[in-house]
Amino acid sequence: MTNPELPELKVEQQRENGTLVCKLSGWLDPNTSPDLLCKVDLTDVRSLVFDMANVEYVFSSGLRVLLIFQKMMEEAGGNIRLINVPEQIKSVFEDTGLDKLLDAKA
Amino acid sequence: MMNWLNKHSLAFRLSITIIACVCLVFFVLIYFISGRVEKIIHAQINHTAQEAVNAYAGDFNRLTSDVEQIVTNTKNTLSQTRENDVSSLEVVLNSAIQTVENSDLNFTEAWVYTFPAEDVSTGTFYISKYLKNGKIDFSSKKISNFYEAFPWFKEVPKKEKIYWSEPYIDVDTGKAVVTCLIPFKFKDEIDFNGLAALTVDLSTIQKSINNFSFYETGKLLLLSRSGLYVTHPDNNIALKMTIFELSKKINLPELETAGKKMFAGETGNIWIPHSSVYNGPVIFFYTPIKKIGWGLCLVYAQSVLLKPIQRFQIIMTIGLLVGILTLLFIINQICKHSTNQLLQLSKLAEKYGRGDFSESFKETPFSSDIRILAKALSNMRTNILDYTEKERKDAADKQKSQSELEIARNIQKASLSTKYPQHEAFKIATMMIPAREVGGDFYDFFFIDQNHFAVVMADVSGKGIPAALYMMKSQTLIRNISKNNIDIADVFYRVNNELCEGNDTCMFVTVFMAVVDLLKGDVQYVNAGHTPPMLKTQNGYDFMSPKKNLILGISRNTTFAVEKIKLNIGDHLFLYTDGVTEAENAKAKFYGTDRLKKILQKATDDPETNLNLVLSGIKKFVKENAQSDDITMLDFAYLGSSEGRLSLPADNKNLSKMIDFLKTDMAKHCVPQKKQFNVIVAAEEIFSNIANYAYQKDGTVEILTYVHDNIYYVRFSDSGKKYNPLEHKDPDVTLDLKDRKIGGLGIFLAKKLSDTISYSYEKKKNILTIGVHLL
Repeated sequence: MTNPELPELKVEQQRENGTLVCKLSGWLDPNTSPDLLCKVDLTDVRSLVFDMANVEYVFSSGLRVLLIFQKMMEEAGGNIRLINVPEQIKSVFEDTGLDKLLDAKA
Repeated sequence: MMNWLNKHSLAFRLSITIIACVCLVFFVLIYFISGRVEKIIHAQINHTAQEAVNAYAGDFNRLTSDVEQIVTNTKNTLSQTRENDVSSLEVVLNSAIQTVENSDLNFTEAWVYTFPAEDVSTGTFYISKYLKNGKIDFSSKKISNFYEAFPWFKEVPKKEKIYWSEPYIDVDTGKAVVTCLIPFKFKDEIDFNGLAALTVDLSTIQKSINNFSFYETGKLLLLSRSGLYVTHPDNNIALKMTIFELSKKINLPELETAGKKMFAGETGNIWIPHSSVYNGPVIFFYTPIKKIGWGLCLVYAQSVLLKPIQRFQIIMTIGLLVGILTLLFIINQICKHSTNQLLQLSKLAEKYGRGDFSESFKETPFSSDIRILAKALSNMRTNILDYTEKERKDAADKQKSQSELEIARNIQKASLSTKYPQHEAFKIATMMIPAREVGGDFYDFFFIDQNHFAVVMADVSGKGIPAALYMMKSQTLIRNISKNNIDIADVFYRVNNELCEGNDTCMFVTVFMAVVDLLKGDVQYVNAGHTPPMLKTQNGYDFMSPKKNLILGISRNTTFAVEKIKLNIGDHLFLYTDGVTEAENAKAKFYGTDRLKKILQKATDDPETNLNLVLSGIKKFVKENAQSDDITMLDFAYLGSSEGRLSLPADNKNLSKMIDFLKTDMAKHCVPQKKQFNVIVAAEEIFSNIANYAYQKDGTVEILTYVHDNIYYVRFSDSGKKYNPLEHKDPDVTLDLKDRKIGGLGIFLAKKLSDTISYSYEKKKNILTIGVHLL
């Protein structure tokens, strides 16, 4: 029952030796972001990587989810990384000072 | 005294005063004149007395002279005859008596006495006298006792000289007589042996003296040599008493002195304080009859003198009384007349005082002094009437002009729209401060069509109702002809021709009109003789220099030059009339364009505020000076086209719609890519905030985008509960993740990602605007 007008967020997960790489595509917006928490299974994951290459927008709700993941990973002794962050999103991180919290790479 | 006088009427006061003065003058005059008159009368009476006495004395002298002459003649004749020549004696005596008879004298007898020289007492009398039958009787008789008959003869000196005897009573006739005699010697005689004499009857003299009248009571008194009264009003005194005896008797020494003086040959008068005869004071006048040594006196009562004076005084007093009465009557009449006039005037004044000016009068019937008052009163009446008439007229005029003013003002007021259209593309404010008398200024604003908005500023020539009506006509024409007609040149052409129609009074109107394309900001305008408007750009307000066109209403078929400019978002058009620049202060200085420009440096984006700013500037300049012309202003702010408008239900499901809209809009406004992303992120945050929290049920989010001053603005408005997200504390992104709550991040992002962000609550709407620089 997806509304065709609503932007979606697709998640492709690849597990390898305790590393989970989530390829995200679409919007991290209030509608999609809460789903992400449900879609990602962090069992035995030591290192969480979000591939942001195909992410169009990250809104605060998305950031919030990302920060929740970071908190969960840190509590579990793991780490979290953002890769292939598009320039404009990266500049949002920079502009807001979140780049200091999140390990985000282009 | 004065107080007492003042209590009485004018007539009384005048009468008292004048009568007092007149009486004083009169009495002084009477006293003075009386004294003078008394003296004059006294002198006159004295003189008359003197003359009377002298005349009488003269008569008496003449009489005695006659007698003396006869006696002397007789003596002379007899001295040529012998003593015994009796016949001669008879002839002489008869002739003598005849002579006497022919004169005025009343004699008794002429006689001769012969005697022996040695013895006078015995001799012979020869007497000639008239008998009763008229015949002359001559007789002789011998006597021996001559001294017995004539005892006074002893005193007669034996000289050939006239001698007058004292009066005595004749023994034969019993009449008072006096004898004039002269001793002589007959022819050839050695010694005196004869006497020639004439005895005169005094009764005639007494009678004539007694008949003498002097001022009614005046009496003559004849005194003999010895002082015996020959005549006296009192019979007990006449021939019985001398003046000296009388003096002693009545104890009046002055009388004796007067007698002595008289017999010594003096003339004079004395005043006797009381006379029993006159029963009052008398004046005693005396003079001597020198020839025979007698005296003549005139006695008259002093009252004789007083009478004319008293008469004079009485006449004067009567005259005075009559005069005073006449005077009183005249004064009373004059006063009455004057008082009546005054009363008449005071009645009029009282009437006037009550406001009844119906009765007028002429000053001419009034006496000269009152005429001044009358004239003043008359003038006062005229002036008051004129004044009240003028006042009434003025009041009527005032009322009329006031109502005219009111009408004109109402026309003007009714014509001027104050209801500003609510439009996203512009904001407008107008102001019209009418002068006391309507000046004919007007402004106007209206939509020509959906996207074209017209602003008009105009000033009609003249004032009052004509100006107001012409204003209304102009305004109606402009509005009607502009309807769906954006060809502004055509509008002016047609409006002008219509205004020229039947414009006999040559009224005209200056007009500035601009038509704004609200989408593009393109403006076309015509200035027909109006004051150049001002344009606000990035550099602030400045005067435009529009092409000059003819004013409207003067020349038919005029073409008007149209000019064009483009308004950027945030630009203003400021229109005004000369009532602004020519606002005059007490020193007759105009507010002027410089001051206008200067005050507009403080202008804001809000037209209303700007107009108030200018007005306060003008008020500060003119101070208390009365406003002479309408002050009319219009400020038009161009806010840009309303393309960027979006209204969405407040639901996160609509997020992409908003983002799509923003993407398109920002692309149109050439917002840089990076900024576009920031705007979208920030906008999402704001939108979802509204969607999540603003409404309890459904609501909408209004989104407006516009560019102003090279800033791209996105304005969010919702009518949800009042909430200012900017009041939230920013989250501390520097804190460790563990210590930080995950929340408040959204607005933090919005703040960080926009160049400007502002919140306001207007008309029950939360308005949050973010902006990013275009360059």
